[in-house]
Amino acid sequence: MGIVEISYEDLGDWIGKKTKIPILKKWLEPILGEDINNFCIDSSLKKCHDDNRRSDIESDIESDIESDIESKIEYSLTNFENE
Amino acid sequence: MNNYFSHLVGQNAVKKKLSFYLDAFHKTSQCPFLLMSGAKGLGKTEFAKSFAKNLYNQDGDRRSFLELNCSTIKNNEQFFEQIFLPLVADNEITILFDECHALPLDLTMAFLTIFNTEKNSRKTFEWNEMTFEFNFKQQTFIFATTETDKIFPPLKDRLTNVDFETYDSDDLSNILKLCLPEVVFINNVEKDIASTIRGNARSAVKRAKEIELYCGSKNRNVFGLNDWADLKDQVGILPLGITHTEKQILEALNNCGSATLTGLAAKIGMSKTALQRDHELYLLNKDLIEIDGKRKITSQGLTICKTF
Repeated sequence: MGIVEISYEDLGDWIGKKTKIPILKKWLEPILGEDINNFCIDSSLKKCHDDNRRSDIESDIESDIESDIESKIEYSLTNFENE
Repeated sequence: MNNYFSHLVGQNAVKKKLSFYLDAFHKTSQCPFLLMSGAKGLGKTEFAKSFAKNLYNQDGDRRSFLELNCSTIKNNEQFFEQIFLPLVADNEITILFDECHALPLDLTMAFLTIFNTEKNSRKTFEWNEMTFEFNFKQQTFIFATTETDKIFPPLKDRLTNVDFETYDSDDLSNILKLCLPEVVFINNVEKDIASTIRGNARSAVKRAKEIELYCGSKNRNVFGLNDWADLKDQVGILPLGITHTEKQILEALNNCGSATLTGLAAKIGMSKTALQRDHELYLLNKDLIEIDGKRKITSQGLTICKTF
């Protein structure tokens, strides 16, 4: 994995202190000491208790990631020897 | 110092700086990570390409030049899969990240690690259980943007800035003449033409195209003041190159004396942001309006208004 080190304070300065960021469940669970699936970080995530909705969200995220990988980067390659 | 950019007009400070890096590259095979910044149409891409054209591989061939539109890069995986592995890895190549303020966050973070080189010319980057080798003697990285404020500051710290300036009237006249070697300008008409190009090289090239079409349609190669007046009338070129929206702003301020930003936006039918960013700055720059709490037209603005 590509890892960079940045303090919470610095990160908060750049992206805002209330911005939600994705983190690994297996990293968070030992800190919280309970199963993340039974835990709500704040009221806006209560919807996540609904398994069907969670499944919809996860599949939306997966499909977004797949479409991002499939979309083509625009580029042009110039070979000066041929000019 | 060699003059690698004699075919390009203006930007003398940029030419000197880039020539220094090219001379150094020819001795050391190393080049800093460059960030070309400046308003649109100032020649960032053209200079990057000319710079790349002067970088040679170890076998003496010119290096290939890869130009990427960063707004189409979505994430690390897409970049390493579509660009790095097939085109960059183990190749001698120059890569331009155009509109680099639009780089995705994860690639920006990856670049913080990759470009964090103090002395080494190589960097190994590990991501997603894969290893990517960067060799900065083989690969030269150039970034370009109009919006440096949107670049993640730690990344900007790792790049060497090359600032582009707006072109003056003489530079713009020279660009016109360079684009139109067959056309003879008389009565210094090129100075008047240059005043409508807004300091922008790309606009100068576009204006040259209009003149070429005009001369072609008239089947002649001499262009004077009457031709210029005729062309201005036909394609709607206004004094100082102001746009028709800017003309409306001046007319609105001329009619009402002064206006708040909200009032002016309502009169013109534009958002306040677009009005400020796209039009007011130029009118302020040309001393056609002033802002002192409210927007007001200046005496110079009134003079321009009378010509409409």
